[in-house]
Amino acid sequence: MDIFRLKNKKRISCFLSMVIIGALAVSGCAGNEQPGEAASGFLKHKEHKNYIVENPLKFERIMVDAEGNPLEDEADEGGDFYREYGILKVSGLRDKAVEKKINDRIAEKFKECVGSLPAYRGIKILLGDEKQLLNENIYTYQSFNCNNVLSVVMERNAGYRNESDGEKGDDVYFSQTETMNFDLNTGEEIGFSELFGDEEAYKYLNDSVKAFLSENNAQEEQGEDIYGTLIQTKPFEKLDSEQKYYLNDSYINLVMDYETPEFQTNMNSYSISIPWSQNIYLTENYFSESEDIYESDEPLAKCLIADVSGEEKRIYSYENEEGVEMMVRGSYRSTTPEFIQEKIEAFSANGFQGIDKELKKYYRQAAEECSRENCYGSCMKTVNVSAFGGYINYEEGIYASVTGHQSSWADTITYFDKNKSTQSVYRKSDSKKMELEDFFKNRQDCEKLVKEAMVKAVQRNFEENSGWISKDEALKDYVFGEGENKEKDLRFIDKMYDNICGMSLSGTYMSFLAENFSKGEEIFREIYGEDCPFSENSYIFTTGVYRLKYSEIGCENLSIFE
Amino acid sequence: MGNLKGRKYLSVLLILMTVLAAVFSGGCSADKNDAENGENSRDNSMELGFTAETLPIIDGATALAPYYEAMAAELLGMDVSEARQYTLCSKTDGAYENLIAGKADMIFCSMPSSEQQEMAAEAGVEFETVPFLNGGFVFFVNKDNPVDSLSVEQLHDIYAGKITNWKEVGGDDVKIVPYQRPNNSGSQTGIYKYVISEDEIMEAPTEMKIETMGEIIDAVANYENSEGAIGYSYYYYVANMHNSDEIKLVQIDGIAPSDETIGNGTYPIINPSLMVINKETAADSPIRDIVKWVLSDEGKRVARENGYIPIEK
Repeated sequence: MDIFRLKNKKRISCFLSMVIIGALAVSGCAGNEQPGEAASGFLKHKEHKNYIVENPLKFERIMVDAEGNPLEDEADEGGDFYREYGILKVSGLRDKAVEKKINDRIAEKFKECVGSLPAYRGIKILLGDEKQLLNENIYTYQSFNCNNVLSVVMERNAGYRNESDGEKGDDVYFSQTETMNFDLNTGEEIGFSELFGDEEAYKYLNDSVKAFLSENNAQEEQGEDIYGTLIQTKPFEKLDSEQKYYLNDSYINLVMDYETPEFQTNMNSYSISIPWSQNIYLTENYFSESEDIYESDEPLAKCLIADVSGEEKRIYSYENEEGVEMMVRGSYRSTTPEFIQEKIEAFSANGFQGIDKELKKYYRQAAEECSRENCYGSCMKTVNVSAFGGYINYEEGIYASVTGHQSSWADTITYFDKNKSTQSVYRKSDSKKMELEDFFKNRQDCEKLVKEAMVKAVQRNFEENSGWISKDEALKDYVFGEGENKEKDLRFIDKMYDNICGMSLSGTYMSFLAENFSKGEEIFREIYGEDCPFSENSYIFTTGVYRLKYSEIGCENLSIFE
Repeated sequence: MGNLKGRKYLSVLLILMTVLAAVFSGGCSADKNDAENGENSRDNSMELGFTAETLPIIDGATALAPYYEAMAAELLGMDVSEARQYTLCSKTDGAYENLIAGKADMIFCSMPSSEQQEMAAEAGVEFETVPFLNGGFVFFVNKDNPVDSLSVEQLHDIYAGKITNWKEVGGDDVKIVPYQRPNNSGSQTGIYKYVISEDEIMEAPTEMKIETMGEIIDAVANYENSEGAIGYSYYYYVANMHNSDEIKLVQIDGIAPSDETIGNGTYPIINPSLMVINKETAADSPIRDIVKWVLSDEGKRVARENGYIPIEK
């Protein structure tokens, strides 16, 4: 009977424990707040702008040793093994105490990471008591830097050899992703539970993860090992309040690794990326245009938010007609407006616009001169759709060519080469096809502002390629340099502007299309009377002129941010 | 009253002992003496006293990892996040390979395939298998589908393409869309094993997918909960399905899959999970102590706490 009494006592204490644990869970006093219950956050559905504002921070990548001390040389050759460690230093905040807090945290995270064993399944069995480091690499970068929020990612790859029992055992390699998401107002990290403005956004993220797992058969133990495969060990219920995450311009990325045991990730970290959409977006809880927390006096640089919501739809067809490959390829998302989907259907169904007949004629000629096995003819029709900040980019193209060589050592002869493409932008709200002037608050400013931005783009491209080209040397004679070509420079820019025949928008750029890829080179030759210099970097004077940052045009001049 | 309660607990204990004895005498390969001692294994984490150094090497299927990791935590007296670093998770194929190669001492998996048995025979290894969990292989349809129950034969004919309309099995005049899973997945192995052979099954609905490098492949289409759809999976996972509120589980021969019907084996399509060890394992090996622990009340408690259904009969 005593035994039964003891067991009853055990049951009672067990019951009481459960009640206490339950009460703690309900009241949240365990300090483990459920994500959906958070009162504030910067992710919230429905109320949002179509853009985010880049933080004018400066980033310096510093190579360090295992203790975190800066190195002069880039890599630390550690005897029998190789290691390379890079951390990030942030500057540009007015409040230096906040800046220090952020940099100290990055340095601290590095120290936590370096030389540690992440708690992956089986790692201590596989490595045993004695292990030899084979290689270790830590790379730190900023994945998101907008709206006074900074996401920093620390990627670590390492390999160890099991040398237990004095024997050379197996090598074990693993990857690790550590993340930090800072509120730049305070330097504090933003926990996952703070992301949510309401239950609906949290539910949306959980549902998105479930949908991802279902689409990827994650509950199935696949027979073959594929790097990075994510397999569930048990049914996924919900994201933890301390879920590891980082942001980028289009996604919230949820890191699955040793901290998410409901997944088996094979000693690698794995990210599930959930796109920003009408259900989940950045709010401006941490940001106000009127409060400047940065040292920079530069005007605000705004970025349109990419809309990658919905399922990706692919268009693909392939036929081999009389030896010529005829292909149709394209992609769009299920959320693409109906009027665009109708255009896609019409374009896909509309044959090859006569190019195929011309192509086949040249293919027959090539086949006669080179024999069939030595010639190649193809015609590819493409249609692609992307969406940024309430605008839809719609691009069509036909690319056709016939090439051949008369023997295996002979030069390739191009018999036929024809490319034709169009790029248009539509406003999602009213299906309006946009003209270039429509993007400007004052339509009459359009030409002047675009031409000025083109010059800035050339100068930026030189800056970005300063490793290969001396900017001073290169600009001496061309495009607003100090030489005698000023008049030619203006004519070059004018001509480039006049040849714009299409456009598209991305997060930070407005891009233009000329009739063909080599148009810029032709214009350069026509104006300056010589071939475009820096042949390896000729895009600086060609496509580079057609890719303008919004900040180069001046975000304040553009209507797309209204 | 005290006496009544005492008698009640005594009778429960006796029933448990009888059930456990029945399990071991009923064809499972565990040693009979081990089974008889099974009920005495409560709190034997203390008795077993494993440390990280002495714990046998445990490996297994991904879907059973939460069980054997929790088990390791109990046996080591550690938090599970620490204990799982001392157990492997090489998936079914890898776990059998490790057991055969002597790189694992015991594995937690489904039944070995004929290939795995052949591989073991070639290596001179004989498996000793001990069932310890029951799982159900389940079929699901749209919640508005009026068909509640199907027989295994009807399921066979649906997946053979012989029954093509729900009206043929008492439902609406709606075409049946029988979804399948990728060929090397656990669920597809399940349907081949329990319902229809690989030779007989009809072609799966596919969707075009683009793999890396632009390669186009026809991939098995994912289950879409359309009016005429039918799909399958393991009971353990169904709660996780994205649209689980919109689907209903199909009864097989009038028996609905549930913890009870799967646990007591009345549900017709049962998929047991096994502990597998090398038959040559010594009688006094700590590996056999773990087998006993898994079959004990303590082992069953850990199973239930982790969402599994321990074998009760």
